Amino acid sequence: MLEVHTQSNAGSIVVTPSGDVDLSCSRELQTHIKKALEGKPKSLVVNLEKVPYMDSSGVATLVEAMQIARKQSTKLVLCGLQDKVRSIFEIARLDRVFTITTDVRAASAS
Amino acid sequence: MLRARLTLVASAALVGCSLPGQRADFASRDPAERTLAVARAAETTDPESLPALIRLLESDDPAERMLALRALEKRTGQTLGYDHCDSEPRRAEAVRRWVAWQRATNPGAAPTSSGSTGR
Amino acid sequence: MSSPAQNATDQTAQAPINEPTGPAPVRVELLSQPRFLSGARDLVSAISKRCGFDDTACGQMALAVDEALCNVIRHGYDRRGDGKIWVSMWPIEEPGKNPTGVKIVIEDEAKQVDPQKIKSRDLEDVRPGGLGVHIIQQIMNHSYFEKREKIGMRLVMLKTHTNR
Repeated sequence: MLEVHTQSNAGSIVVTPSGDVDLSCSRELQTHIKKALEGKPKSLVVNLEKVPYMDSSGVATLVEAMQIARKQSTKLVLCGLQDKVRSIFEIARLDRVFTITTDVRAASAS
Repeated sequence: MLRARLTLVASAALVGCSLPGQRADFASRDPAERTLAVARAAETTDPESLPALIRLLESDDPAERMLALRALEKRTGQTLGYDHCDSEPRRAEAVRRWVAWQRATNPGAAPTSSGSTGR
Repeated sequence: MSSPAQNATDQTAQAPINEPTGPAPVRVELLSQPRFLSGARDLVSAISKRCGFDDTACGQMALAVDEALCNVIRHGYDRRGDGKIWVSMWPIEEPGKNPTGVKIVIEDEAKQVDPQKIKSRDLEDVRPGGLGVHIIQQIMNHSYFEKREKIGMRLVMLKTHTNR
């Protein structure tokens, strides 16, 4: 079971999953992210500082989120990527496709 | 009513249909409208949208390039060696392959520029 | 049956890896359920560490195995939760010397696919392979698919210390 915390602040939303994001729970993350995007926030930050591991199902969820966000002009930022998670983004050649910052504060400023 | 509206939003996002009042335009300066145009093109069989997708392979935005390639791959089953993260010269080379493919498979379609869109 | 050479991917040009044969010293059977992926990852990571890999490499190999298992679950068994999957591991080593790598084999009893048709694609999750196969090929030195004798597929992955 993946714990996901969602926080709204002045038109922006921060979604913070906790735990490994793999095939067993990536749909849960997808549900939370899609719900966050429904309200067309100004920006959506997916804070991955509490995610020690992610596989391609998690990455696919974030790619889908990016596509939805772009269609509605919501800025999507990923932050707090741990080494293993950053590694899969680099392997998938998505590290330059997403806006990635070090933490939530930097994400809000970006 | 709100739930029905939210369901419509979710479904529209998934299949690339537009919401009332939302434009899908490859040539728009608005990235959202371009993205919607890409999403729509991925779901259709309309040969006229292929040149526009190929043009977006030259976008300055790597996300846009990636999405355009996904749409092309979904439509044609191939990438012709294009990588959205490759160097500009290598991407340009791959775009030339796409243009050649487009001319070979659909000679009547509008020509595709091989210059950068500079977005 | 396709030969390993026909559908192998070698990421580096180097001396061929001596692939261990015989019964695997480590072999686990699991059902095709995503909730068991983390256990498989932990196993692969722990055994890889004993074979001399650093933490980064152990993490990457766990990812490669995870992706392979996901492909079996999603595409082999079409998300059925009652399919059997076997994960086997061998250290790559010469007698009296420390291991220089590891061989990992994933086997299933799912539908058979022409190994030639399994290829990496860009973020496409519809056909077998996709990003998962790309990840496996990026991480492992050598990998190949083959059909098992009667039913199912086998994915063989090899990684040595000296190359990555």
